[in-house]
Amino acid sequence: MASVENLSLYVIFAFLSFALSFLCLGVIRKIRARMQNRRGPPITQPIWDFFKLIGKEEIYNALSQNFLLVLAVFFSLTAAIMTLSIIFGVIQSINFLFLAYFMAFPQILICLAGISSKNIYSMIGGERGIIQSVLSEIVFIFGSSLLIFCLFKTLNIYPGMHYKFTPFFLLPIALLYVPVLMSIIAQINLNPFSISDAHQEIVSGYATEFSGIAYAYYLLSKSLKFLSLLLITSFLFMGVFFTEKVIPVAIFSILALFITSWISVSLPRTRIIRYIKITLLLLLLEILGGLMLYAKVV
Amino acid sequence: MNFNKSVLIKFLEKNGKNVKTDNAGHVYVEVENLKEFLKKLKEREIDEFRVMCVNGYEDKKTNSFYVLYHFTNPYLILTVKKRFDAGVKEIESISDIFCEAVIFEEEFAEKFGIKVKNIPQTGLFRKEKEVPKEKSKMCVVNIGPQHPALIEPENFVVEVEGEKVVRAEINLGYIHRGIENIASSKNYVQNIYLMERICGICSGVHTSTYALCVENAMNVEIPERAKYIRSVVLELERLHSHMLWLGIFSYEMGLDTMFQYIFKTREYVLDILEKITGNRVNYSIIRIGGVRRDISDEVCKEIKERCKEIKKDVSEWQDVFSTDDAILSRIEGVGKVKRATAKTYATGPNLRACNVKEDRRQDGYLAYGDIDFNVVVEKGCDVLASTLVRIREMKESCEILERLVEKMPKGDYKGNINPLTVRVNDSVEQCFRCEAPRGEVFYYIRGNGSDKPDRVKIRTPTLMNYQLLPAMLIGCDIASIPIIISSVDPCFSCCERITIIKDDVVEKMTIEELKKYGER
Repeated sequence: MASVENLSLYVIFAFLSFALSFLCLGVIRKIRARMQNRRGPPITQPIWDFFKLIGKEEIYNALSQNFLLVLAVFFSLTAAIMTLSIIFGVIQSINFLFLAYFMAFPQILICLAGISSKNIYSMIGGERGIIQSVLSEIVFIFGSSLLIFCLFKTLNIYPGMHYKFTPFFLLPIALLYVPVLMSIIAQINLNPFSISDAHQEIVSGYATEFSGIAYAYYLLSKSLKFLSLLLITSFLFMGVFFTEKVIPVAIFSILALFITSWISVSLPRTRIIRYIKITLLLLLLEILGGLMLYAKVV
Repeated sequence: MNFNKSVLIKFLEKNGKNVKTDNAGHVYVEVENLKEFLKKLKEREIDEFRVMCVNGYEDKKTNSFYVLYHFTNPYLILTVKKRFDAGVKEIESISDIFCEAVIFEEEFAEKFGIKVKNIPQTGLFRKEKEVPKEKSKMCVVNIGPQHPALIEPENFVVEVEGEKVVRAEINLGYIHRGIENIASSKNYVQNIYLMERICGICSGVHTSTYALCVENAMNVEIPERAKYIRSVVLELERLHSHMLWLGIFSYEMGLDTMFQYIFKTREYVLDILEKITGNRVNYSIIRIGGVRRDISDEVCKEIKERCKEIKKDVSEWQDVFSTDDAILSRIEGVGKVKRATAKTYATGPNLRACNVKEDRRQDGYLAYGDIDFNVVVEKGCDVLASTLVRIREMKESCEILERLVEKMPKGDYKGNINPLTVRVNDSVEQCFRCEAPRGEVFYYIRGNGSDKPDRVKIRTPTLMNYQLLPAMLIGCDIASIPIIISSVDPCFSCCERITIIKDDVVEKMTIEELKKYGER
C-alpha cells in the first residue's frame, strides 16, 4: 500500500483500478460459466461492454428528471474513485466510518434517481434497493468496525496497522467475515441477493431507465465499488495480521471473489422479506463474533 | 354410485334430441332450451361435467348456425348443440351456470363476431379500454406484453400494495394466427403439418390428436406398431417439454445453474427424437393411418440406456426441489389454490398437483391401454406441488418408455391409407382428447364429404389454465409473479386463434388491414 507520489502514477492507478474492477466482474462471469459447464465470455468482456455502452444512444423517459440520473451516476463514480484512492494509499489514514459513508451514499443516490424516473419497475427496484442498501451497509459497517475497534481500540485505519495473529482469532473472525461477505454480495446485487435489480421480476429495477453512457458509468462505479469492498475487507480481516500486506490481501481477495461467484451460482434469488430475516441472522453472528473478540482482547 | 354412460344417454334423450355417439364414444345432443338443460346437467353432480370449450359452425343447407358447448368429465366428452338462425347477432352466456365458460365464450365471440350477452367482464381478452379518470391508490404493474419473464407476448396487469398483489388481470390476444380458419382451407393431410405449427414444444401431441380424430371419423384402425411409435414420440415429447419447463422455471427464480444442467439432459431426449423422426422440434412423423418412419432396434436400445441416465438426473432434481431450503422458500405455499377451484379451472399437472387423479392417458388411446403406469398426484395445491408432479412425471415417462420399447410389436407401421383418399363424410363429427404435457388437448372435426374439413376446433390446455392464474396471483409477492405464471407452463401462442375487438364490436379484417394493425 505505497502512496502515489507523482501524476504518472495517478494515471497508472486510474487505469489499473478501471481494468481490475471490470476484470473482477469478468472473473465472476467466467467462474459461473465454468460451473455451469459452458465456455463463458472472456474475462475482458465487461471492458468491451463498457466501451460499447459508451457508444450507444441515450434514451430517457420524457417524464423523468434526467439530470438526477446523470448526477447520481456522477456522484457514484466520484465516490467509488475516492474510495479506491483511499484504499490504494493516496490518503494515508482515514476513519473507517468516513470510508463506509463514501461506499454507501452513492447507492442511495442511484436508487433515488431510479425512483425519480417514474418507471414502475424502477420505483419498485428503488424502494427495494434502499432497504437492501441500508441493511447490507449495517451488516458491513457493524462487522468491520467491531473487528477494528476490538483489535486496535480505534476506528481509524492506516496502511501499517498490524496485530499479532493467534489461532483463537479464527472463529470470531469467521463469524464476523461471513456476514460481511454476504453484505458485499448484497451491495453488488449478485445472487441470491439480486433483489433490487431482479431481471425476471422487475426488469432491471432502479437501473431500468439508465441507458448509454450513464449506464456504462453506473456499471463502472458498481465494479469499482466491488473492488473496493473486496480489498478493504481483505485488508481488515487478513492484511492486519501481516507486516507485508500486498500478497495476503491479493490472495484473500481472489479467494473472496471465488466464494462470491460460487454462492451466486449455487443459490436462487431470495425475496426481500427473507433478506430482512437473513440480515437479522447475520447481525446475530456478528454480535457473537464481536463478543468473543472483546472478551479475548479487551 | 359411479358414472354410468347409459344413464346419461337416457337423461339426454329425455331432455334433448338427436342424441348420437361418435366412433370414439363421445356423445352429442341437440337441445331447444339450453339454459334449462344445462341447469339439469349441472344438478347431475355424478357426471362432474365442466366446460371444455365453446364452438360453432354454420350449416348452409339448413340455413342455421349451431353453437356447440363441449363438456368434459373423466369418462367422455359431451357436446351440447343449440341451433340458431344464420346471421345470429347475439347469444346468451352460460357462465351463470358454468363459471369456467367465460374465457371460451369470449374466444367464441371474437372468432364468430357473435356477441355473448351477460358475460362477466373479466379482461381475459384484450380490449381497447378507456383510461380510468380516477387514479387507483394501488400501484399498477404491467407484466408484459414485453417482459423478461415472458417468452411470448401477453399482458398481466397486477395491482400491488407494497409488495403484495391485490388484484390480477390477464389480457390475451397479442398473437393472431387464424389457424382454425386456415385448417378449413387445407386438406386433411396438409393439416397435419399445420397442426404441428400450433406449438413447437408439443407438436407431436397436436398432430397425434388431430390424426386420431380424423382416423376415428373415417373409422380407420392403425397398425399396432404405429401406435407404439406414436406413444414413444409422445412420451419423449413430454420428457423434453417438462425439462424445458423446469429449466425456465429455475431461471425465473434466478437459478441459472439449474437451467443449464437441465438443458444439458434435455439434449439427450432431443437427440433421440432426432434419431427417430429426423427432426428436433416439428417431427412430421405422423401420417393418417400410421407413422412415416420406423424405430430401429439400435434406437430402442439407446432409449433404454438414456432413460436410465435421465432417471438418475431427474432423481437429483427431485432432491434439490423438495429439500433445498433456498428453493423451497420461493415455491412452497406460493400460488396456493383450493382443490375445488382447480377442479373447475385447471387441467394437466396443475390439476394433479391438487390431488385430482385425472390423466387422459387413462383413456387408453394409442398404446397406453397396454402399458401400466401411475398417475402422479400431489396434495400441496401450490407451485411446489405442480413442480414435483412434473418432476415425478418425467420419471414415470422414462418407465413408460422402457415398457413401450420392450413391448413394441413387429409388423407394419405405415398403415394402408392413401393420403389422396382421406375424406370425412358429410356432417360426420368427431371429438378427441389427449394428454399433452400441459394438460388436456381437445380437437373437434366436422367433415363435409370433401378432402377438406368443414370445421376444426382446437382447445389447448393453457387456455383452460389461464383462468387459474388470477386466483393464484392474488395475495402473492411481486417476486412470485414470474414463478406463478410459469408454474402453469403457459404457451401463449398455442392457445390464441384470431381476435380483434374494438369496444365489443368485432371487425373482420383483410390481410392488408391486419398488417397495418400489426405495424401500428
